Amino acid sequence: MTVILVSSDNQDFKVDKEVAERSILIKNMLEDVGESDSPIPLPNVTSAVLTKVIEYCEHHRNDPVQVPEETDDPRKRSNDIEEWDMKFMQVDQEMLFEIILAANYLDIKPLLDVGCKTVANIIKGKTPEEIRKAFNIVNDFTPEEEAQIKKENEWAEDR
Amino acid sequence: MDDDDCKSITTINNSSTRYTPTLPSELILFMFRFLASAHDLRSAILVCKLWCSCGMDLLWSKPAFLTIPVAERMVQTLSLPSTIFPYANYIRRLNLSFVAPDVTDSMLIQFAPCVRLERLLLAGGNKATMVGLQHVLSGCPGLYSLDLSDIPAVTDALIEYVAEKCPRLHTLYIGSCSSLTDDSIVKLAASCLQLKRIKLSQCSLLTDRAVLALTEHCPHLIEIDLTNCSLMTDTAIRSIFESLPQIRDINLTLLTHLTNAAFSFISPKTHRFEQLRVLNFTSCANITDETLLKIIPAAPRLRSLALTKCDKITDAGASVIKTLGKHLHYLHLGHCAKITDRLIVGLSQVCTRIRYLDLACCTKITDTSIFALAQLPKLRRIGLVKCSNITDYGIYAMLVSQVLPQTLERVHLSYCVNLSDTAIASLVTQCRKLTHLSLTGVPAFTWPRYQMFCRAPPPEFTAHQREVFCVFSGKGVRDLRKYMHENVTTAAAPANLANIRASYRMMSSAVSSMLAESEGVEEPEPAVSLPPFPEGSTLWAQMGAAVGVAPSDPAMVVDIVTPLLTDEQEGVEEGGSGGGPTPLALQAFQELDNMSQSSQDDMEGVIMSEPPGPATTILVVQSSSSSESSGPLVFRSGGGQNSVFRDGVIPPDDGNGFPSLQHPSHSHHCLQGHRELELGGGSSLMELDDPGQETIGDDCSRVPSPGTLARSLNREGEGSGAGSTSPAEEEEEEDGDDDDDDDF
Repeated sequence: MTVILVSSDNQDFKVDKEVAERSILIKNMLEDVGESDSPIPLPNVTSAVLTKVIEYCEHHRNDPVQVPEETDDPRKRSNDIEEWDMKFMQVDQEMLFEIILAANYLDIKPLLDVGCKTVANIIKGKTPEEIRKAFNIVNDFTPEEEAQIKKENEWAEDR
Repeated sequence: MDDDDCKSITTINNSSTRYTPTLPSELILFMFRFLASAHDLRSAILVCKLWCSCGMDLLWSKPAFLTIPVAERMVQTLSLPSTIFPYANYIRRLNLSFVAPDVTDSMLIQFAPCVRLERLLLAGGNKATMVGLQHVLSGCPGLYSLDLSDIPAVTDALIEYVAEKCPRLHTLYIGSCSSLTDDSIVKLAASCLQLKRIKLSQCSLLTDRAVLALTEHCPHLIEIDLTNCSLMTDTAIRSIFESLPQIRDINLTLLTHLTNAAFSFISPKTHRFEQLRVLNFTSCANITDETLLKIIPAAPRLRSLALTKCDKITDAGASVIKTLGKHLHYLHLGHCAKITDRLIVGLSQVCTRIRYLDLACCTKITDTSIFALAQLPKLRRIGLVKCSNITDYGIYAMLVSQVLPQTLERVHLSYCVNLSDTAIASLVTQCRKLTHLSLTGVPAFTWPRYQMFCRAPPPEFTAHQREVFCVFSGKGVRDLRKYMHENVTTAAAPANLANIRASYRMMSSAVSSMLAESEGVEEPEPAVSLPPFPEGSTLWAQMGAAVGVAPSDPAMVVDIVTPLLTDEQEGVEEGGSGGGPTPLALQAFQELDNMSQSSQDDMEGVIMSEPPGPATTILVVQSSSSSESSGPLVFRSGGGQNSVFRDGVIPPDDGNGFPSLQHPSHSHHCLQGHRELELGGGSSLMELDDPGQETIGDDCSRVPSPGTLARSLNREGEGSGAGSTSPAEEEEEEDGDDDDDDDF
């Protein structure tokens, strides 16, 4: 059984139901609607991003459903990304953020995790200025503000 | 997560979001949680205002300080009259335990504005006074976890203050706050009704009244530590078991007044302590078998049981421990001098997940126990201090099993005076994970050549203690291993191997007869069966690495074993006794038993095709362990022992740690017909008449997967001290063996 997903730029994507249901949002929609051939509009996702997301869901179609590990596990790990995912995430910064946003919207937890881990890995070991460069972020602090925050959080510097 | 603070600040910064796409603050915060170090988080918050407002809370929420200057710098920020962020509001879990001795009142006072403080760890903060402590605790009604152990300033007045200010407390550690009396604990119990964990160790003024108040008012208590609260009587302890059926962890160490009467009301039919995991009776010298027979059946999921110095315990009572089966992980029986091999053999069969076992000063224990323990697949630490009946053959039995060498990490053999350096050389060479080895008072290790790797004795030792002190740890073990490895001067002595083999059979038969006696009575189905003695090159590989070290006491070897050597040719390797490592049922033991007295060739159908040595050996073994086996097993082994010796062969890993002689698809007694067997690293054994191609030398030196151990290590901390994990909870291992140190 297949379902049709429609991107924000009105492109149709025909995918196996099993693949589409990696998205909890779509899964719930399908459950609510019941048997229906009507296409599912995804107004927050462009076709470029949806292509990537479907590629991910295809590859992980047989993964066991992730058990939500709540409890505030102290510090999550970002160094356990599997190889395929690592390659999959080698995209420009804009697409990386788009994928994270789409994963969040579509409620695909493993993809959200992998996206955020990728960002975290990029941050690791970089100075604030290098991070801004990597993610195309403008420094909106005034020099005074920046100096003060730096000073107030100096204790975290060498931990 | 509490991001209400974030949001209020975020509104100021919306101008920063002109670059698309931008992650919303909740996703930024989510992503920040993958940043492991505070350093990276600090860099991230300096990127832009939005990231700053998202990450600041996280950066400040759980500060833990390793050095005092860092803590001082944080305090400096808190002391500023005005800051960009309300930092004190962010602090929830404050871990000062690493720097506690340097924490002063003036520091503590700066934490007073931390109104959302949930956890404070300050164990050992001996500079703190009432003033500083009251400041921190004054304004945090949500505090639920507090570790004030070993702080002299913790008095009744302070505990009463805590009772008043922190009604939501569920974990309170105040061990070694020795001025505390019943009065404050009674008040605490009456106002902190959510208490789940309390440590009162060394609060020696406390009496039954304190405990009765706790058991009356705090129905959620799951952990209580009364170590050395020596005024406690049976009344207090009885109330714990009567009022708290969900109790999880009870420490009664040194409650010398405790008697069986405290437990006499327990009936396994009406009382179940399903949650009880940890029970410590160390030095409760009046406890006897009677208490064990009451409490153990009522607590079927005990994980850790300490009976050290409960010297009235005998096999009769302790055998009830068997009912814990796989739940039991830690067992301390030090100084239970009445227990015998019979108990240990029985336990080894059913409590197969034991990780730590202490048998110090259990002087009746012999090599037979070691033989049985050698099958425990998870045993990491074993304490045998002053078990003076242990000989080299016990050590060899550990190694021959191929199970222990993969798991053993800490071995305590002090005052096992019969051990030779030859056997220890085998031990350190084979047990690659070994990180601690104590051999204090073992004559064979008084030589300077070994002493040079031993760590320095503690300064408080007397001259005599320093002289006999012999403990290797960490690098010392590695250096000792290297030294012993490099100083193998001769090849394995065939006589030694024959003796080892014979002693192994003797132990095996002792075990089998003990099991046979209990068969049908208690344990109709032993959970673990013992493998036969490995043969051929495998044995050589296991023993060869170090047997060649000049034996310090060869006479002993001969004495014990000579009567068992029958018509076997010395040094001749033979086929696997009893059908490979197929788990043997009891009857197989009887067969082994017989074998040690009669001609083995007859029993096993062993055909010696070639003498042992560097040349390839092919052995045909007709399995006799089972009536079902109908065809010969083909067992090919190869030469090359010498290289094998050097490489310290790691046994093949077939998943259960036994030598892999059985066909993967066949387990138990279904070895039928003529088939190939697998040995070691998948080197398939060919048909009978094709000598000389397959060798097991380096092929079988596969590195075992560390998976299981790593997993079990990871599980180690499960569920323990979830409310408050102070660094002091980390199990502190013994430091140095002196005359009295035999608990590890």
